Amino acid sequence: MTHAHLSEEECIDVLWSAGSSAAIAHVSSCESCAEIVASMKRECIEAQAQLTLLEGVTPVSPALTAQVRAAVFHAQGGIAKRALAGLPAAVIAIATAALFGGHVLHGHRVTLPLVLWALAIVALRLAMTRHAASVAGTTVALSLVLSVFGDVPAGPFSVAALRSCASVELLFGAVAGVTCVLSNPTRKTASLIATCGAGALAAQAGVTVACHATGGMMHTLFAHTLGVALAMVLAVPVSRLRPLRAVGA
Amino acid sequence: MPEESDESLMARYAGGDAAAFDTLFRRYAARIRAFFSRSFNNSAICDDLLQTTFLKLHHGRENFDSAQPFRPWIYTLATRVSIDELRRQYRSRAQGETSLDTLTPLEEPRDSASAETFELRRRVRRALESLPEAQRTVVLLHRFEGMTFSEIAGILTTVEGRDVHEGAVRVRAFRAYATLRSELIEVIERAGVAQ
Repeated sequence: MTHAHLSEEECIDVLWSAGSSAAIAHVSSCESCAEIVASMKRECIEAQAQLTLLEGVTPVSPALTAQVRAAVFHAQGGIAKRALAGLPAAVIAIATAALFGGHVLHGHRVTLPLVLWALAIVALRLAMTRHAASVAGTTVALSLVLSVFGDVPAGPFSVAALRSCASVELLFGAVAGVTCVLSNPTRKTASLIATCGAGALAAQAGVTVACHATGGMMHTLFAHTLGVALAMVLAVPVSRLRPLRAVGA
Repeated sequence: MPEESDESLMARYAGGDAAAFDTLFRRYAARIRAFFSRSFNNSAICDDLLQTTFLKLHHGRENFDSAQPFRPWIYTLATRVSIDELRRQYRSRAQGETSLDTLTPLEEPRDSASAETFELRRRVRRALESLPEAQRTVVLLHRFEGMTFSEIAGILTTVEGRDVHEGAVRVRAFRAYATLRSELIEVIERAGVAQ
C-alpha cells in the first residue's frame, strides 16, 4: 500500500514513535495520514490485547533446575569427567544386577538388590545425556527382543523364564521399548529410556556373570553377549527413527 | 547492596565461577521457558529447549562480551534454539511424520469454566503459530519480553546472519499484529459485544 502523502513504512515509523520530525509534522496536519496511523495503532492494540492470554511465567521446577545443572556439569567436564560421573552409577547398577541375577536364579530374597537398583536408577537418570539416552534405550529394546526370543526355550512368560534373565529384562526393556515407540526422545522421556536401558543392560551383564559363576550355562552367556553386541550395533540407526505416526493424523 | 549485574555474573561464570551460573539461571530460566512455551505447547519440549539454551550459554561463555548487555545475548541463544526446533518440526511434518508433541499439551482445561479460556488461548496460540517465523519472533520479543526494536534488530541480525535494520523490525511487527488481528477478528468482535 502506498499513501499519497506518507509511505506505509513512514506511517509505521510514526506508529511506533520512530518517525522523523517531518513525518510527525505531516501526520499532525494531514487528516488522511493521521487516520491511517490511528487505524494501524488500533489494529496493533487489539492484537496485543488478545496476546494477554499467553502471558504468564511459571517458576521452573527444582527437578528441571537439577537436570539443567547436571547437563551443564557434564558439559563442563569433558569426556573424562562425564565418564567419572557416570562410573559410580554404572558400578552400582552392574553390581546390583549381578546380585539380583544371582538371587533370582537361586531363589533368594531380592529386597536389598531392589533398593540398590532404585539408587542406581536415580544415579543413571542424572548421569545420562539426551542422545546417549536414546541410544541406550534403543539398545535395550532390541536386546530385549533378542534375549527373550532367542534365549529362553520355555517362552518369555513362563515361570522359568521369569525366574531367569528375562525377568529383569522384560520389566525394564518393555518400558524402554514402549517409550521408544510412543514418544519423541525428549529430555524427560529419554531420561526414562536411559534408566530402563542402562538398567536392563546392567541386568544382562549381571545375569551373565551369575550364569557364568553357576557354570554349565555357557549357552546363556553366549546368547546374552551376542544379544548385547547386536543390539548396540543396531541401536544408533534405530535411535534416529521417528516415532510412529499419530492415529488419524 | 545493589544486585550484581547480569553482565558481571556472566563474566564471572566465563572466568570459572560456577555459582554465577546458578544466579543467572534463577534470574532467567522461568522467563526463557515461558518464551518457549508460547511457541511449543509441550512441557517436555520447553524443558528440553531451556536446557539446550543454557548449554549454549555454557559453550558460548568465552564469546560473551561483558561490555554488551546480557539479556539480548541470552535471548539470541533462545531464539536460535527455538527456530532450530521449529525447523526440525517443520521437516518432520514435511516428511509426513506427525510429531506426538501435540498429543501432550502444556495445558489442559480443568473444568468447564476454564474450557472457554482454554479454547481462546488455543486460538490465539494458533494465530501466533500461523505467522511467518520472522514475524513471530518479533512479536514474542516485543510483546512478551518488552524488548525495543533496536534490541530485536540486534538479535535478528545475529540469528539470521544478515543486517536486519530497526525499521525492518518495525514493519515486521506491524504486519504481524495486523495479521494476528485479522486472524482473531471473530474473538475481538465477540469480546467487544460482550462488553
